[in-house]
Amino acid sequence: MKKVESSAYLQSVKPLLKELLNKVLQEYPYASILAVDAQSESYRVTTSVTSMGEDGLLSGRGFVIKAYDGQAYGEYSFNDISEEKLEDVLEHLRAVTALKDCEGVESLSQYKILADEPCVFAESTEYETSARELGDEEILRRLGELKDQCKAYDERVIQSSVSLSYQKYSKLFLSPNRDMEQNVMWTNGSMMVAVQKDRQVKYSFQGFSKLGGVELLDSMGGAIGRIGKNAVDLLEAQPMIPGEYDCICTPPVTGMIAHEAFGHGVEMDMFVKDRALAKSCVGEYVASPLLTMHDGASMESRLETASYFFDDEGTLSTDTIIIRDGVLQTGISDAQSAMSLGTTPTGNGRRESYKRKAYTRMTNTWFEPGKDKVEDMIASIDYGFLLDDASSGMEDPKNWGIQMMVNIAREIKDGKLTGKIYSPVVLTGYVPDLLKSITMMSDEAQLCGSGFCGKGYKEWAKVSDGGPYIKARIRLG
Amino acid sequence: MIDKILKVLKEQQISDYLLSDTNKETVELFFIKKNLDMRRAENVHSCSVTVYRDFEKDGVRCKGESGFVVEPSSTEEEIGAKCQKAWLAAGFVGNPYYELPEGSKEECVTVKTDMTQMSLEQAAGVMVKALFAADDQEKAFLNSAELFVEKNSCRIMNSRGVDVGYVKYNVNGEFVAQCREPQDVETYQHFSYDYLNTDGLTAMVKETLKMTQDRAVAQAAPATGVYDVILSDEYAATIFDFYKDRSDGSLIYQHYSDYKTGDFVQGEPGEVTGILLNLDYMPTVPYSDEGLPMKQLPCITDGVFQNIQASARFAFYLGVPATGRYRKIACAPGEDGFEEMKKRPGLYIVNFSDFQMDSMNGHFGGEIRLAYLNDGEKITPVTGGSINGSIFDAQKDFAFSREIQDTSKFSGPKAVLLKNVNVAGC
Repeated sequence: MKKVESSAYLQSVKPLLKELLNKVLQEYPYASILAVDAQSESYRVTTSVTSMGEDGLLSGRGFVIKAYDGQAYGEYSFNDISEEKLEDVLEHLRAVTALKDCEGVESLSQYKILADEPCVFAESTEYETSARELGDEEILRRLGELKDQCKAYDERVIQSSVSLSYQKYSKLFLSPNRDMEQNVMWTNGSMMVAVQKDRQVKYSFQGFSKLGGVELLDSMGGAIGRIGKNAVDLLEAQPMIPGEYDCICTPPVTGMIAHEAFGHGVEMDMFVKDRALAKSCVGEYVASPLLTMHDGASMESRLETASYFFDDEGTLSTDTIIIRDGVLQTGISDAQSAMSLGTTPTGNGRRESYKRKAYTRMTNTWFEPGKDKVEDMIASIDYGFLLDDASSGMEDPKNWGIQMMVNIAREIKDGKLTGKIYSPVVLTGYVPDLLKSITMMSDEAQLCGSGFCGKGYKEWAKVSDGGPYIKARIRLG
Repeated sequence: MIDKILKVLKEQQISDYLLSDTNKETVELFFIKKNLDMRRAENVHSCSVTVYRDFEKDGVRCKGESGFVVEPSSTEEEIGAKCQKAWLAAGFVGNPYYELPEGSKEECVTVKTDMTQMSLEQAAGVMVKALFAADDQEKAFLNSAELFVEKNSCRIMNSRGVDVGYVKYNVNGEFVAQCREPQDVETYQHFSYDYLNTDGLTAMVKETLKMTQDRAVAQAAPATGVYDVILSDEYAATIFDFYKDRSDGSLIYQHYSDYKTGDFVQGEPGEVTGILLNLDYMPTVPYSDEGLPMKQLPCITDGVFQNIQASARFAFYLGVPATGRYRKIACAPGEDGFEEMKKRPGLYIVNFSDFQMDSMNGHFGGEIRLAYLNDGEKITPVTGGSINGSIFDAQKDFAFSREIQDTSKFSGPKAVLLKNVNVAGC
C-alpha cells in the first residue's frame, strides 16, 4: 500500500496563505483558511460512446477564508492568489462582512469565537494502484471488456454502460493555532444494463466504491450476472399493489433508510433551525433494540469514500454512535452549529467544494450487523417482498416522513422467493415506525459510497451508507 | 489565461480544441428566521479545455476527445503536462468521427435583465426585501432562507473559428416555511429567476405560508385508490422533463429514446382524448456549450416530434442540424381555468417530499406532503401516501390550465391534470 502524495502546489502557496491569514487577523478577531487542490478523472464506456477527462466538479484549486467580525462569520471563496493579490482578497472579505448592512437585512446572528485548540497534523490515506500508474489506455480497455460482458448478458440488452472515476484531494487548514494537512483518494465505479420492451426502457444499476485507487476495477466483474438478471426481470415487472408488507431490505436499501430516512434528521444544523424532530427525541427509543447506527469519517471506523482525517472547518473526524440499542444518543454537527447548541462538534462540517458554505453533512452512515442469516430471514415471511436496487430518496427531518423509491420488489410467499417482480416501488411511512418494526438483521454489513448526497437539492458531498439485510414492516405503493 | 493555453496548444501542435472560459461572481446570504446567519461571496475563474484527435481504428475514422481544467494558478508547465496527457488519452477514445462546429468571432452578449443596472450586493438587497415582504403572518413564518445572486461571464472558443461570449445574471435560492400549530410542519421551496422577480418571489412566499398552515391541520393520507391528480408549478413542469430528455440526441443515439422526427410521440394517435402536446425548446443562454447560437425551436407540434436537440457530435451521428442542448422547454397552455380544475373531484397535490419523473421508463411518483382532496362535496387537506404512475398512460388524456408559469427551466401551464393515477394511501 502507498500513501497519497501531498500537493506540491499547496506547499508552495502555504507561506503566502499564512501571510494572508496574518493580515486578516490584524482586522478580525478570528480567521481561518481552507485550501484545496483536487484532481479527478472520469472514464465511461458505453455500447455507443466512450468518454474520459478531468471532472470539472471534482477538480479544482482554491481557497475559502472565513472571518469573525465580533458578531458573526463571513466567507470569501477565490482561486487566484499571489503576493500582489493579497490586498484584493482582503478588500473582497471586507465587502463580504459589510453585507450585514445590506438593504432588507434586519439583524445579524450572534456567535462567539470558534474554538481553536492547537493542532499540527499531516496525514494521508492509502491506495494500491493509482489511475496514473495503470494508465488511461488500460483503464478504458478494462471498462470496455466489462461493457461487452454486460451487453452479451442477454439479446434484449440495448445499452450497457461502465464507468470509473476517482478524486485525489489535498486540503490545508490554517488558523491562528492550527496547521493541518490531509491527502485522500477515493475511487468509484458503476455498471448499468438497459433493456427495452415496447417503448419502455428498463435498467438496473450497481455502484462500486473504495477509499483507495483503481484496484476497485478488480471487484466489478462479479456483479454482471446480478445486474443483467435484474434488468431482464424488470421487463416482466408488475405494478405494486399498495399496502403494508413484511419486507427484507438488501444492504443498499438499508443504507438508503439509514441515510435518507434517518440520517438527515440528525444533522444538527437542522436542530439550530428547529427543523428536526430528532432534537426532542434524544434519549428515547426511536428504533428496535436490535439497532445501532453510526456516522463517521474517522479512520478507526468503517473505511469508505467519505472517510477523512479532519472536516472542512478543521475539526478532527470522529465515529458518532447515533442510535445505540434503539435509543437515540446524539446527532452530528459542524462547528458553528455545535457552538449554537453548546455541544461538541463531531467533525461533520463539510463543503461541496471550497466555493461553497460548510453545512452539517453525513459521512459514512450505517447500521451495525445483527446475528441472522439472510435465508432464515426470507424463510420467516409468509407474504412480503425482498426490496432491492435503491434508486432515490429524500429527507424529511421535520416530520420523519419516508420518501424512497426502489427499482425492484421480489415477491416472497411461504418463505420462498416466487420469481414474481414488482416495479417501481415507493416506500412511505413514519421513520421510527419502520425502525421499530425491525425484527431481524443479517450478520454482515455492506457499505457503498458511489453516490453523492445533496442538502435539499444542492451542495453535493461524497457519502457512503449501508448496513445488513433487515426485516421490517413497510408501506409500499 | 486563454493566451497561455493557446500558446501551449500551438507548441504541442494540437489543431482541434474547445475552450470554455468562465468567471463566476456571487453574493450569498443565509438567514435563520430574519437573522442574517452567514454572508459569503465567490469570485472564481477557470477554463475547461477539450482537445480532439482524429485517427483510424480498424479502418474506421474516429474522433477522440479528452478534457482538463485550467485555473489562474496553473503554470505553463502544468498546462503543458495536462495537454499532453489529454492528447494521448484522446487517442484511446475511439468514437465515430464527427465535425466540430464552425463559426466566427462575435461581440460578447449581455443577457437582458434589470440586474445589470446595480451591484450584486444591491440586487441581493432588493430580493431580501421581496423574500420577507409576505412574512408577516401570525401562524406561519419563514424558518430559514438562502439567497444567491450570481454573475456568470463565459467565453467559448474553438479551433474552427468560434469565438463567442455572454454575461448572464441569475438570482436563486430556497426557503423553508414553518407552522407550529396544531402540528409543527414545514414546506421547502426553491426558486431561480434571470431577473429581479420580486413579485414572483413574494407571491411564492405568501402561497407557501398558506400551504404550510393547511398542512398543519391535515390529518390523514387519502384512501388508497385511483384519482384524477392535479400537479402545479414545479411539479407540473417536471412532467415535461420527460419530453425534453427523450428528444435529446445523445439519448436517441444510445437507444434510450426511440423518438424519430415526424413520429406521433403522445401514445397512439387515435387514443388521445386530452390536449395535444405543443412544446418548444427555449434558449436560456445565447450560445450552447460549444458556441452554437441558440434560438426558440419547435420540439413537439400537436403530438408530432419535430426536432432533435443535439450537440454537434450527436447531431452529426444522427444526420440532423446541431442545435445545442436546451435546458428549458415551453408548453402551450390549455383552456381549463385553474380554479375550475380544482373544483372537480380529485386530488390536487401541492407539495411532495420529492417528485420524480424517470425519463427512461416513464414512471413518475413521490410521497405526498400536502394535497387537497375534493370528494365532490368538500375539500379536505390530506398528508401522507404516495402517487405512482406512468407517463405512457397519462399522456393520452392530459388537461392543462390556461394560467401559465415562467421559470428558468419551464414556461407553460401552471397546472396539469393527470387522470386515473394510482395513489397508495391509508
